Amino acid sequence: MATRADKRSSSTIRPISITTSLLSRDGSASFSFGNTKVICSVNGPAEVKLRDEKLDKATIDVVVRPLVGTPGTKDKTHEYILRSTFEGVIQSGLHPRTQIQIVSQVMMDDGSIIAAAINATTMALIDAGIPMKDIVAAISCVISKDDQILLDPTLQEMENVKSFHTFAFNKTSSSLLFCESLGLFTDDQYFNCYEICNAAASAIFEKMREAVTNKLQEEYHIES
Amino acid sequence: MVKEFESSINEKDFILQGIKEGLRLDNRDKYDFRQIGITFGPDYGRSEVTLGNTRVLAKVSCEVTRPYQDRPAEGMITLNTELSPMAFPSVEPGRPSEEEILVSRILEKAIKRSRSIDTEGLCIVANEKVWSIRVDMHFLDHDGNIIDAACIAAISALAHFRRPDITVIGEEVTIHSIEQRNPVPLSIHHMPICVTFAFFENGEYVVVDPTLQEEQIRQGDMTMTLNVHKEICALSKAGGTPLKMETIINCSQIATTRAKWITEQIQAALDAEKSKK
Repeated sequence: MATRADKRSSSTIRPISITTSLLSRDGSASFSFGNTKVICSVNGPAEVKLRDEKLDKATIDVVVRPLVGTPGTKDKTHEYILRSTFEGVIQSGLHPRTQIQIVSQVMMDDGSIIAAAINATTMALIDAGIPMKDIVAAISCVISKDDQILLDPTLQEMENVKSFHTFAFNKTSSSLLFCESLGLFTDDQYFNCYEICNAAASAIFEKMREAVTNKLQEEYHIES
Repeated sequence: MVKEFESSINEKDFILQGIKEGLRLDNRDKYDFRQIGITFGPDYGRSEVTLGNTRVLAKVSCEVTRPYQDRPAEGMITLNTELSPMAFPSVEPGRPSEEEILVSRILEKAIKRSRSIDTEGLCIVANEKVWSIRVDMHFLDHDGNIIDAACIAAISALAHFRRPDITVIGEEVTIHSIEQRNPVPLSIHHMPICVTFAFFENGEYVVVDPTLQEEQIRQGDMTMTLNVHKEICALSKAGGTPLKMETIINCSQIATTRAKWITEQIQAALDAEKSKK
């Protein structure tokens, strides 16, 4: 079995680190997979512009900003992914005629950006106290040239691969919320990726739970 | 678009009264900066600066491009200072606000036009290929004085940046990757530092490094850009209360000591980063 450049096994995630409430917004969080880091802030429910106003639910506005250069097509796609993933999860019906603004900023790019962005958004929404039906965790994997599934690829590992997959799962039923697959793959390979990512997502949920617990303990001075 | 949070009248009066008595909410002296935190890496040219609660990320990147026709032997430096709704909830992406234009103008003057970076050293083949250096500044959190924070972030990121090494044989240019050969630092002539002042009560009271609440009640502001050699690179005072000559002279003296202090902080952070590697 070929080893990876950072000596991980094929189904290990890079070290995850989560920080919450680091900005002066309603909610904020940073999420990192090793050297990939995304910071996300949430504002709302707040005043909405008249033309964006929805009578029966909150408008969810997503802005994604790249590390280098001005926002382009790729960032617009990421905005769309985040919006469509979280629209189903946020209980927007509780806050009609308001806006919930999500701003996601790439801090370090070393692969699996969209997965990190989804996880950071979940944490920021929790931090902002936005009512949600469920929480979301995302993870990427690639199928390399020698048909190996590599979980949580770095930028280097994302080059020259057969296919690249990102999955986002919800916590309660661990069912699929969002998936994006690029490249050529068989259905067996796809289901293998799905299984591996689903298992990895539960590890991420565990980390998220840990982060929230730690924060609450710190805030309310609870001894564990 | 979310409306910007504004202090109440009572809060404003309280802060103003404090300033008149030489007291500030965060217990600073009127000529003191807030605590500066500078973190680099993991890759070259990335610097995250905190100034109290204000937080700015600067990322330097480079690419090879064709030079401008009128300056065939000079490299290019581009600054990108787009404000994001992360720090400024009232900002609409894609539509520059007045504040954004002001910020980018001041930083452009401070870093580009003060000739702090040697652009001739960025030339590879005259008329054909030059390095284009791009500095992206991301404003993550806004608690006043983003200009000074952004300037520290930009100049420290530029000082931390390394571009890939090149060899030129005739017209053939080889760019060596960072793994192949040690990358080369940019040549920086001097480090311009911005120092922002806020004025109250028709210029009678002056504070350095205003917080967001102080910025909301100030009557005027002035940003001085200077370096450790006590040279003023730029001075911008865009309107506001008229100032006496003595106030400006006095400010420039304060600014020289602050600029020296900030340069020392940047240098210390750079040295600490170097010893880590």
